[in-house]
Amino acid sequence: MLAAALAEIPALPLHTAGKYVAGAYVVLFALVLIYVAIMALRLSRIERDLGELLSMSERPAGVGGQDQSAEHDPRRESAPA
Amino acid sequence: MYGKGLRALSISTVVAVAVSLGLVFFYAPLEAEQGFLQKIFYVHVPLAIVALCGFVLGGLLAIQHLRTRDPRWDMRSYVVIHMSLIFAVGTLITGSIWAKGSWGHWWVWSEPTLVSFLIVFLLYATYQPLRFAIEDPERQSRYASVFAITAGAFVPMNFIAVRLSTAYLHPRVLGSTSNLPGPMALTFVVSLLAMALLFATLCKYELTAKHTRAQIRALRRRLAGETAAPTRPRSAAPALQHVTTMPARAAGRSAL
Amino acid sequence: MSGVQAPQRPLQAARAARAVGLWRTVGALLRKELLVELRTLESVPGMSLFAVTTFVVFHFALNRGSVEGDLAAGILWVTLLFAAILGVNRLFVADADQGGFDGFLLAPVDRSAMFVAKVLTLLAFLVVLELVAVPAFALLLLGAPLGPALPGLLATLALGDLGVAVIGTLVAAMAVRTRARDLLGPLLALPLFVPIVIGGARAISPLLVQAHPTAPAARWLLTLGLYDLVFGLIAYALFDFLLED
Repeated sequence: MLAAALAEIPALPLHTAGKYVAGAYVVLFALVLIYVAIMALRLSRIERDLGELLSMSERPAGVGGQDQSAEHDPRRESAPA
Repeated sequence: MYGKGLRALSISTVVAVAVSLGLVFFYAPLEAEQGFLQKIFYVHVPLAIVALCGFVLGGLLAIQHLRTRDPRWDMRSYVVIHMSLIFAVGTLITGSIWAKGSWGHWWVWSEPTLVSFLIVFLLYATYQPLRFAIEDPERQSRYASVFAITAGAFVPMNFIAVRLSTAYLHPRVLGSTSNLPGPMALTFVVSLLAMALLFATLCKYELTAKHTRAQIRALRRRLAGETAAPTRPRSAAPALQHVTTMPARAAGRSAL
Repeated sequence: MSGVQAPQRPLQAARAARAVGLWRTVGALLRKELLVELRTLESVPGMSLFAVTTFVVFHFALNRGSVEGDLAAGILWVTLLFAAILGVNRLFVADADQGGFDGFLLAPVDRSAMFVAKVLTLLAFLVVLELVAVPAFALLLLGAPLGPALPGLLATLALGDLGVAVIGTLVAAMAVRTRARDLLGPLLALPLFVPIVIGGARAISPLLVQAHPTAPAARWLLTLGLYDLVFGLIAYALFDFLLED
């Protein structure tokens, strides 16, 4: 059975096989890099959100600030999205 | 909280991947039958094994979720299954490349690993749509856990069934993991370890990112009141709720 | 009754009461399901008609007058599965839309009874489906005599039907209260059915040949049986979680 299998699969010469091996490793690399890119996008969004929150927290108290029961307070300006 | 240990994990991943690549290309001998093409084995099979274990792990985490009703387990299950699905896609693509190099066809039915993966992929591809189709978050997590457990049990049974069915058609040609000579076995084990570490790192990374998002939402709520934080649109991903000193949200869901 | 009884008695009595409760509940639910089906005839006639029509489609699609062996086994199983999916889609619809779940949850009965009853219902539907589909198949497409194949065929179909019923019930319960219930049901079910197709088709294909029909290989029947057992247990354990709220 091994001889039959051997007869069916010739060992590919390096310059042909190399393309396939490289392709497989590139696929793995690409998957990881795509994930890195997605995380980069998320990180920039986190940075933006944290910047907003920082400016929100530096506002003088009473205008928006720490009032937790103000959820139905119509006077309060809407916070940035 | 989730990010603790992430640095150590990622450093060990880098080391393991570098060592395994070195072993693959400079240490492992060329195989007699397939020559250089066989090197794909060190990428394809670890991807497969890690993805399979990931799917089963997703089921185990889901069992924990159903037992404790703690949403953190559901989050872990979701991330692990998601990552395993990506690794499964990687398995299919690298397996297809290997098949093309070996047989000249991009797909072969005679390779049971590849066929089983196709079925498993088709099954887990419904995980996200199932979650997305249920709006109530608690029910979404619960149904997703039931699915994860069912599918996790399905994976090994499917492998057995497919292997039984192909055994009588063709001899396996894309290589097996048994009877590996010493240097190849070492290379394979190191590659497997590297892939497992990569999986763990990426999952931890993802969990940390999700948790950070939740912390930001909680901070925004605290700073600007309940109305300021945009309500999450309908989504397939479970939501982590960060522990704050504020009373828990109206839904009464227990905070972390 | 005085309160002087031994401490084990009430527990045993309670356990016995629960055990009787389960089967009595199953019986009651099963009777309801079958009565509803008999009165409305929503599922089974549709499933059977679908199967026969599919055979006709296969004739034109494959451009053959008769099939045997692997081809016959495959056509039969695929048709049965797709007809079963029609039944699966409808299995919990009435309960979900008309409050049957709530009514059941309020009753002081073992919740697993609904799982068992629904599996038996779907099993009954499948049996009736096959009573129509298998003779139709023999008439329209099968190029081999059905008689000698019948015992092996029935055994395989029985095992396969049990698996389809278990998985179909679990998937139906998952899909029915989602937004895309008609789509998600088949999408979830078909990959889970693959091992049943593997076992079922490999088992009956040596039966459906003109030349030298043989019995189904034990390995495939064992595969089917094992699959039924494992998923029966898993589905039984998980079903409760789908019923809450």
